[in-house]
Amino acid sequence: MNQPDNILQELQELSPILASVPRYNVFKAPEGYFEDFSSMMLLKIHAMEAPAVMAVPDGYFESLPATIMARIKMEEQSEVLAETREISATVAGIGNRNVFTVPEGYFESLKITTPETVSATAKVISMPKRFSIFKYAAAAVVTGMIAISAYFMLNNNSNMASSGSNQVAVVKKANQILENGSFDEELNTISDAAIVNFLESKGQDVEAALVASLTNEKELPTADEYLFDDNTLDNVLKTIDL
Amino acid sequence: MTEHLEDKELLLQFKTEATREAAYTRIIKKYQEKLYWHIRRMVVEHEDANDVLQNMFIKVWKHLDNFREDSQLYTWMYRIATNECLSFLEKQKKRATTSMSGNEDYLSDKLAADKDFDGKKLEWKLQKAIQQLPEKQKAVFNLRYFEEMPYNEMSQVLETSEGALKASYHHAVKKIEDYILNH
Repeated sequence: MNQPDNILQELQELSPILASVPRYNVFKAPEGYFEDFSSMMLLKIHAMEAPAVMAVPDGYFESLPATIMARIKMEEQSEVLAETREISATVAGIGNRNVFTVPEGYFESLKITTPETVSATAKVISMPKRFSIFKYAAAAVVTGMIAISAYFMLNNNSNMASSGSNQVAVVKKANQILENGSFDEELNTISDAAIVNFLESKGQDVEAALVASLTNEKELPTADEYLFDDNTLDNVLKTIDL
Repeated sequence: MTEHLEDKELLLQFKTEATREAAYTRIIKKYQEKLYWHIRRMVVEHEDANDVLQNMFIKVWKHLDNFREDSQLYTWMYRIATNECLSFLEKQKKRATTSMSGNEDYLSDKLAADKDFDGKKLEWKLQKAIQQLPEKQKAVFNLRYFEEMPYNEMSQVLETSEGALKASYHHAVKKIEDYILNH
C-alpha cells in the first residue's frame, strides 16, 4: 500500500490515457453512515447471538381446532365448488350461502328431549293403564266362568251334592253377583297380580284376553280385508287404543 | 509495521472475552471505510454495499477466533469482502438473466441510475468501462488502481499468483482504455 509511485508509473507505461484520468471517487455514502456503522453491527451481533425463544401467539392452541376445521371445510367446499363448476358455471357462481333464517334466540331456547326422559314418561303413563285394561280382560273371563258355573249348578243339582262346601259358597256368591250386577265392585277388590296369576293358571293368554276384552267381534275385519291390505290390522289395533 | 502490530494487539483483545466487543468495534472503525469503498465499487449501489459489508463483518466476528496470522488482518478481511462481493454479484447475475428483462448489463444500469451520474464526465465513463470487466478482473483493477495494493498483498486477497495478477491488470487497463476511446 505504500508504492503509489510504482503504481502510477506502471499505469503510465500501460495506458497514458488512463493515467491522465483523475481518480475521483464518484460514489457517495449516506451522511453519518460510518459513524453509526460499528454500533449497528454490534446490535446485529447481539441479536444474532441471542438465544432463539420459541413462542406461539396468545390463544394459538385454543383456536387451533377451529382453525383446522375451518380449513378442512374450506377445502371441502372448494372441491364441491369445482365439481359444481364443471357441471354448471352459472350454478357454481351463485354460491351456497344459506338464505333461510330462524327467529332470534331460537337455538338458545331449543330443548332437546333426551332418551332418559322419554323412557321415564313411558313407564309412568303406560303401566297403570295397562293394568286397568287387564282388569277388563280378567272381568270378561271371570264373568264367563261365573255364568258357566251358575248355569252348571242350576242344571246339574245331582253333581252339586258331590261338590264340597267351598263350591256351594262360590255358587252362592256368584248368584249374588249376578242378581246385584256388582261385577265392577267385586273386581276392584282383586289385585292386578292376582288377576294375572289367575289367568295364567287357567292357561289364558293375558295379551289375547286383553285384546279380546276390548274388541267388538262384529267390528273385526274379514280375512280378505287383512290379507289384501297391510294397513288393515294396524288400523284395528289403533282403534283398540292399547 | 506499526499498523500490523496494532492489529496483533486487537486480535489478542478479541480473543479475551472481556475485551472482545471493544476490540471488534475498533477493528470495524479502523477498516470500515476502506472495505466499504472496495465493496461499493464492485456492487455499485449503496444498499447492496451495506448488505455485503454487514455480512462480511458478521463473518469476521464468527471466524476471527480461528484466524491464523499467516496473513495480515486487513488482507484477510479484504479476502472475505471480495469473496462476498463475487458471491453477491453471481446471485444478482443469475437473478437478472432469469428475470423477464434478461438484462445482463444490470451494473451499468445501476450506475446510470445514480443521482450524481454524468455520462459525459471522464470519471463516470471510467466507471462504466470498469463495469464491463469480468468480476474477478474488476476486483484486480480496483484493488490496484484505487486501493494501490501491492501485488504480493493482492495475491493473498485473491489467492492468485502475482504473475497472473499482473497479466490480469494489464488486460483490464487495455480494455478500459479501449472503452474510453470508443465511447
